[in-house]
Amino acid sequence: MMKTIFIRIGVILAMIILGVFLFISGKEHVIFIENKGEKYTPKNAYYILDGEKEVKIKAKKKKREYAKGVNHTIEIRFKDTSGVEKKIVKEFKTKMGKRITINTAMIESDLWLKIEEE
Amino acid sequence: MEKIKSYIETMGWPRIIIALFLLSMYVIAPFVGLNLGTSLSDTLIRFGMNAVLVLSLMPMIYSGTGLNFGLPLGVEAGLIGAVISVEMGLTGVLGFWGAIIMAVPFAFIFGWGYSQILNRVKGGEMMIATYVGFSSVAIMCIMWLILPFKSQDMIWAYGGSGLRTTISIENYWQGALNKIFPMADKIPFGEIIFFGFLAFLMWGFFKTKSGLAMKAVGANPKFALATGVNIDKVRTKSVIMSTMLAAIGIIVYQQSFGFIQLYLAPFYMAFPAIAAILIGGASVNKATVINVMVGTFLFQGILTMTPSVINNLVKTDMSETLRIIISNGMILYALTRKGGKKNGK
Amino acid sequence: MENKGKKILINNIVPIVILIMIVMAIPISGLSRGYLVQEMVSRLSRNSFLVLSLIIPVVAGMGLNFGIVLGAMAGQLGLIFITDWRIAGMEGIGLAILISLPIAILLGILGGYILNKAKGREMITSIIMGFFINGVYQLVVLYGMGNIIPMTNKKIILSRGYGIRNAIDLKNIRQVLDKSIVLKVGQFTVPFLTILIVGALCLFIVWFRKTKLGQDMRAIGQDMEIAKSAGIAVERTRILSIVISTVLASIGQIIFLQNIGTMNTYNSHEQIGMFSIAAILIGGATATKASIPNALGGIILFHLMFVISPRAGKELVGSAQIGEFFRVFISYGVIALALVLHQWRREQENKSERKKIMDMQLSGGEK
Repeated sequence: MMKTIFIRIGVILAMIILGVFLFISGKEHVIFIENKGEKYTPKNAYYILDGEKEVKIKAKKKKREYAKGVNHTIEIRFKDTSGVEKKIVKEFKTKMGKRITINTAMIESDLWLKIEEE
Repeated sequence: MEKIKSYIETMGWPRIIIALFLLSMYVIAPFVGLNLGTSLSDTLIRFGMNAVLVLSLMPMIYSGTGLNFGLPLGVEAGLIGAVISVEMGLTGVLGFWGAIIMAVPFAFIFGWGYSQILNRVKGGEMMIATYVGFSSVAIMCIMWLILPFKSQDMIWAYGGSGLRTTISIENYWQGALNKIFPMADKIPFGEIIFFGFLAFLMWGFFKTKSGLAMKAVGANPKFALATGVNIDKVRTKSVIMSTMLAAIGIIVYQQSFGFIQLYLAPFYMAFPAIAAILIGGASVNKATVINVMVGTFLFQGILTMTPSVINNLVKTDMSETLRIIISNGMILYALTRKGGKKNGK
Repeated sequence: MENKGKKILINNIVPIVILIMIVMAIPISGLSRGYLVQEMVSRLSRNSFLVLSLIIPVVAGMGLNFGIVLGAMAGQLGLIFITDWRIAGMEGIGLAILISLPIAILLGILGGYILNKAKGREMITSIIMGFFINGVYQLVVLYGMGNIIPMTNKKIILSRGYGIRNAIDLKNIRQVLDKSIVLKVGQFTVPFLTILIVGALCLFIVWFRKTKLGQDMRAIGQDMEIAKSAGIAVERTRILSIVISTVLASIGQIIFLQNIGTMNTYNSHEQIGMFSIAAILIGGATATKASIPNALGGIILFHLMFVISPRAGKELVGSAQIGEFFRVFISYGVIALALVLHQWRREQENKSERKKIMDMQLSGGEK
């Protein structure tokens, strides 16, 4: 009798834990990409988020992407002031309730990732 | 005390509970801003609209052919009569009776065909009846599109072909039954008298030899067979009667409602009628006129009152959803009571 | 020898009749064979789980469980939540199933309880029960969500501020199962993972029949009184059969909807009951006997008919609208036909049983 109750509670707990895990790893987060630099804004920037297709983003534009899970990589390609093509890869995490904006123009500085409250 | 107890048992708890529930709705009504007089009159009007449809279930219940889930078949016959009447331009009482007269031959033929199917599936009538009903609605949908009707009030505007989904009979025979009586828009005397007339005919019929034979076929087929009754013939008769009453029933409904509704409208019409008669205390093989009257009143009463009361209480319009919950809930309640012969699935 | 052939014919009369109708209609419709095969592959993969969930209640003598609609609603509730929370991919499917599980179990227990009170009338009761719970579902989804039940995703809420929209785009989980492992057989695309899952269910059903619980259900299906006297907890086991069926139906509905990619919040589940039962009936199942071939074969036959009839109707009569109504007519007419043929078959069986008994009694000597 007690054994059945324990098994039942165990199953329920396992399901809850599984549910939480699925929730966290499955939740899509909003990621904003913008191309607005302080000193220099490349005319066109290209980014690949989490290995998806490459997206072009023009100067001063903002795009909204959805990405699933917690850990992400973004690969950004653009021509800098001297016309040299640069390719930079960065990793970042998304958190619940926080809004993330990635600035392709500022990718080389520390200000590339902006985290705000939702 | 004992007398009250036995009275309650005859009435059946379900009916008492529902009656009390309905009563409480009327009591609450004024407190939530509903006019009691209007509520009562609404209930009576809906009673008049639906009573004949519920009555139509009686013959088949008695003959053991089950609850007529194939009611849509009779309704379709009635619809044919109704559109022919409008096509012919008949108005007023003439239009009303014209519709019935046109519908009857169709109802007879449909009923006969229907009975042939039912006679071959004794024991599983209800399920098959449901699907025969559904199929007939679908086939009539095709018919409404291709039959050559010409009346401008009925076909699609801008030169379309085929009948409209909803046809207004305001200028034809709406309210034909009640016109000659006072308070036509408050208490539908005409419909009630018409129903009473048909109910009286039913009551009388079941006292005749044929009527008793029908009851016997339903209650004890072997006994009926032994007394020389042709079971299939009697069942056929009951199915035809039910179908014809259903056709008349929908015409009464339309003249009260003011619209002829074609296409998918008859699809689910069997369910409220069946809910009503079950609420009235009928079972799968026994139904009296009292069951019909009490059941229709209770069912329509709850269907009218509860959404209005709750809407006013919560300030939201949830009528449609509430109607689904209430009517099906009542059928479920009735289906899960004990008693009634096991009559197949 | 001749008797055996006749017996096979009678036993499988329904699928045979339907097959003949289909074969006649294919040329009229003008649809290519390749198109039909591909359609059947997708339809099999998305509908099988649901139709298979009907088998266990039939074994337990509960008749055809129109109550799988309850399971479908549970599955849809799960999908509404994961769409609201924006959970995507396989995790979305998994979470949807996880959420709908307790709901499906509760609804299954409720359904089983109600059906127990309506013994002898299970099928018609389950139809009404489906309508009733649909009303409750509407109450929750159309009025409760966004109101009492907090929703965060504004996109799926109606413009008035509460209640879910009529159609929800399930883009976060669209085709997730189907596209994950894809097999290309000639010109046809086969959603392999989904087929594997369906196969797993088939194995489960076969295994379940052999377990004690499965045997108990068989016994109840054959004769409730005898089962009771053999010590089987009849009431509880019947409820259990409905619970299993409802849970399977909720998963089945999730599989179905991920294939389609859009959910008609208030409609998707309604037709599921009718169509799944039509399929299994056409496949030769009865209210008392249903097997896996009935389910799978029935899906192919029903869906062939479903796809062909509007086209055939249109070619014959020239109107697409009429073709649509024609399809509805055929769907319901076929169920009626199947039920009639089954009843007729039962009559034949009873007649031959009685004849056998009479022959035995007559030849067995004096009274």
